[in-house]
Amino acid sequence: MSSENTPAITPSSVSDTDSALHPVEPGINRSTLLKFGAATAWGTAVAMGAAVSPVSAAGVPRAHGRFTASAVPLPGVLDLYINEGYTKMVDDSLVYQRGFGDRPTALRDARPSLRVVPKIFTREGQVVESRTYPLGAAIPPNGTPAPAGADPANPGQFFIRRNHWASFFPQRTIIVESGATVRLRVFNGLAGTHQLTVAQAAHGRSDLSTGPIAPGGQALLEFDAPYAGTYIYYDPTNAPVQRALGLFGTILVMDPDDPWRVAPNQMAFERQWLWMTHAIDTTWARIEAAGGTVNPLTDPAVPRYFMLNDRSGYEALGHSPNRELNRLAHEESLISGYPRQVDIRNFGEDLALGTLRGGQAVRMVNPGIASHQMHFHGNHLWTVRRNNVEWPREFGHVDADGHVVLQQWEDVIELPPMDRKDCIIPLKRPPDATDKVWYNRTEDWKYPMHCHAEMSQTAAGGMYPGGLVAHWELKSQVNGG
Amino acid sequence: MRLRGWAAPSATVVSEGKRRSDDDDKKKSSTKRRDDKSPGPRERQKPKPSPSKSPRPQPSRSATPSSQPSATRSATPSPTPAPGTTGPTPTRSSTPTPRPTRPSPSSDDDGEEREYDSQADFASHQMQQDAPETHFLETPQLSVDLDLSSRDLRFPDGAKFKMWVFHQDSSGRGFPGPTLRPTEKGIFHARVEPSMGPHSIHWHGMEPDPRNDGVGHTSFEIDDHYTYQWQPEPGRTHDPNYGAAGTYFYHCHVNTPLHAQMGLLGPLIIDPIELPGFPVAPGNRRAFADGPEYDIATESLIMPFSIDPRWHKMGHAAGLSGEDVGLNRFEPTHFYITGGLLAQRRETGEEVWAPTQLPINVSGHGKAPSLMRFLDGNYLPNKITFVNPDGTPARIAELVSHDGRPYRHTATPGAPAIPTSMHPDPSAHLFTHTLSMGSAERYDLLLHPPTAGTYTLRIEWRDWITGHKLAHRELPLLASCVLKGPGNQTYTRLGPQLG
Repeated sequence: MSSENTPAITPSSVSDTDSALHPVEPGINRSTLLKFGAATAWGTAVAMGAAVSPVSAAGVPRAHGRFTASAVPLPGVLDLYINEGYTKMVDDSLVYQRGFGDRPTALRDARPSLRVVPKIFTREGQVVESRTYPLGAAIPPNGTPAPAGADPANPGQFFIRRNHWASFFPQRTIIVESGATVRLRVFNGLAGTHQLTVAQAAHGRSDLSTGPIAPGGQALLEFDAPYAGTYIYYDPTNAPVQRALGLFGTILVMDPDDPWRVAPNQMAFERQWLWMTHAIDTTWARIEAAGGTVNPLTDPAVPRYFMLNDRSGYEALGHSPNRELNRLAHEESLISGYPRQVDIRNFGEDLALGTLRGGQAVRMVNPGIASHQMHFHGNHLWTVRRNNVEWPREFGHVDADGHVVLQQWEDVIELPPMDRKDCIIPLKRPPDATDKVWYNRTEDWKYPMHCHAEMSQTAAGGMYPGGLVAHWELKSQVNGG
Repeated sequence: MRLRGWAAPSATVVSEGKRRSDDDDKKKSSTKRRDDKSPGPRERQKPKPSPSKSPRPQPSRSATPSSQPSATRSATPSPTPAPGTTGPTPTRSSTPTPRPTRPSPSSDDDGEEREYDSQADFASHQMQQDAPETHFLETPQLSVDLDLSSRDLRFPDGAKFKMWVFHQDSSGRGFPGPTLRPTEKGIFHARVEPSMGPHSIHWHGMEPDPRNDGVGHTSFEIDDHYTYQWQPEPGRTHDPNYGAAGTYFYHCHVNTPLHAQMGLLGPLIIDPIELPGFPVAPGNRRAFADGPEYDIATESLIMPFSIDPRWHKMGHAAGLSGEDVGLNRFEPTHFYITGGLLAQRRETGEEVWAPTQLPINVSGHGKAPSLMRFLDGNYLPNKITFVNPDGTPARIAELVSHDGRPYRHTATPGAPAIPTSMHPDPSAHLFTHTLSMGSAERYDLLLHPPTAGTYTLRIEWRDWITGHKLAHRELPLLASCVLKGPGNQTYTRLGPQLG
């Protein structure tokens, strides 16, 4: 947990053009950018340096200790770079964001590194980059686990493979195997002081933190894997402002000996989904981009974009013209699977060798600033834990805040800021469809998931459904049925 | 700076609102619907240049309303209703291969495979259909007709707002929409003929097939009419996997932030079937099939609702073409407790259904307890507290269900899942004086006041970002052991009203 410079880093001063090109306005639409020849959404930012008018941004202080090259990697250590840059919103405007990235990038970088590609701290002490976990498990095509076969007793339903399918994880995910040691080296490439904190990850549910890291400085944070579950890493500086600007991610702790369970001795699942929610206030972004400091009390947040795994609206739903983006949405966010008969009294039952009567796990994490109400159409979800505390299956209670502590069905999952919920979506036959409709099903059934705090369903003040949305899909067999 | 973009579009929007206000008259006119149908009157104009320096998104091509594509799916599936023959062939390893990511170009499956040029393009093309067919239509046990109207309704504090409301032919034009009350196992039909341009109904918490789920981008929005059909799943004794009885609501799922705030929602209650071993005493009903009995006369629905007057000046399709109408900013200035005794509800006239007080039964005096069905009907978190006549917290509320599903003990696989509210061990029961929830959550509470007197239900609204308290309202709960009906004089001995 020390802040110091190391010879491995090559600091460089900021060039004049660098600061001169700093954009004051975060909104640059894509059609403008297209004139500069960027064809795909991923490529749009390429033209940004040219598209941004070099307005009177001179004088905005940028970091003088910015790193221009990655540090020499250390074995078993994950390097995180605190960067800034512009990210494309669902309406193609560009908004200033910060983030913990994989490599140092400059403000005007065409592809700023603001979120890590998923990494895994293995029990053996390695850091492995992988979008899927468990390592070596079968990759579900397009994110959808295929079943083991038809369930003869339940027409239209299927047996589900046990301990078989890998899960895809979104950017910002750091998976830690139980028993592993986490070693994070954090480089602050920005002008202000930042830090990295892992909420509730220490004994007694206290926080772990690098402490403040000066501009151009670095810090090392080392700790043993906490109890299985989800932990938010974030920058608590001027909370919740730095978090709202994008300085967050999720650490997911899994038991490598039993990686198809929510936690040891808890629910088994077919595959899991990690959903991170985030709300972006462009006014806050504008203030901080210009070198100012947001006062969340005098300038309360009015978020304008609402993200699920850093996508919103038609991009989150896989309806965009960008096929690569759609594929990522399907693999990482858009829950899908084949219908199965489940009994929530036992989500791990071995019905036949190698099969499971269980659903899929949805781990919802809200590092954002808005209180979300995650509403699923089509199936109720079974909520098993909140903030890594297992809910009992009997003799529950209502806690002092007025929340029920007992495993339960819900069609709206309450997700206030910094909260995490682990739920099981059963992927069962939608219970209120008539028999005739169900037995004559010929196509995939798709259901919305959306936040019911309806302001979050907008982008740039309108364009419903443009915000925090997803689908989940009950697949059908290809040939009739 | 934050107001940027609101002023400009509102002008067009308001005029549209006016145009729509006399919807009832247009009901039977076929030309009207054409007119109201998108893209015509929906605000398809290009977003006006913003007065602010900040560049705004241009919805590119989508600004030109294309009359193309409501990918109308063939509404004739092979009608082979026999379950055995249509299920998956239970042969060897009939493992289905996953569907291809990219469908054939001819696929028009639910609109899923269609790609959109921009978010504005997606927002303004939500699969409107004139008169989609109800697949496998069956004879209903309960059938309702729903239409929409625009009305200026007066709220309990005297404020008047333009509201859009669901109504039946026979009902008034009030808020919330008519209480719908199907019973488990019965086929339910709702024929919806929206007079005011495309709408839909989502039966929040009910889980039918996508066509009957009422969401544009997974099925269709209704231009002319459609009959929704679903069948609430019947409960089974001590089985946590079955049963729909409980509290729900229905709402329009078109431009939902606006349409639900404008009032397009109503209570939906599913009553249970009667199971062997669970008889029901006269005057009572069960909360769910193997659940506790409650007193029908004092069953209530309580729904906090709040209003941001700015939103009530917008038009049907505000924001869909990409203009910034500020629907991300919900800043209510009026806070209401709506609902009341379900058995007493008059769905006539043009009124807001709101209680001034609520009678409840004192525990253990021969009457079954009173059931309160609580629904967070607005977009903000609510925290509710029950207060004793002496001002101390009253631990009189017992939670029996949430989101239409009973709380049960489910620890033992295969063993009966006893509802917490029916458990012989008193410590299994979920008693509380306070409850926190967010938008669209429902909680069913049995009330057990130990003595007669005036208790208070206090409802707080919280900011969805900061969590700070925004407002609170109070409802007197008049607990009595000899309650016979509304207006009973015995109320007067119960002490002064609060709040």
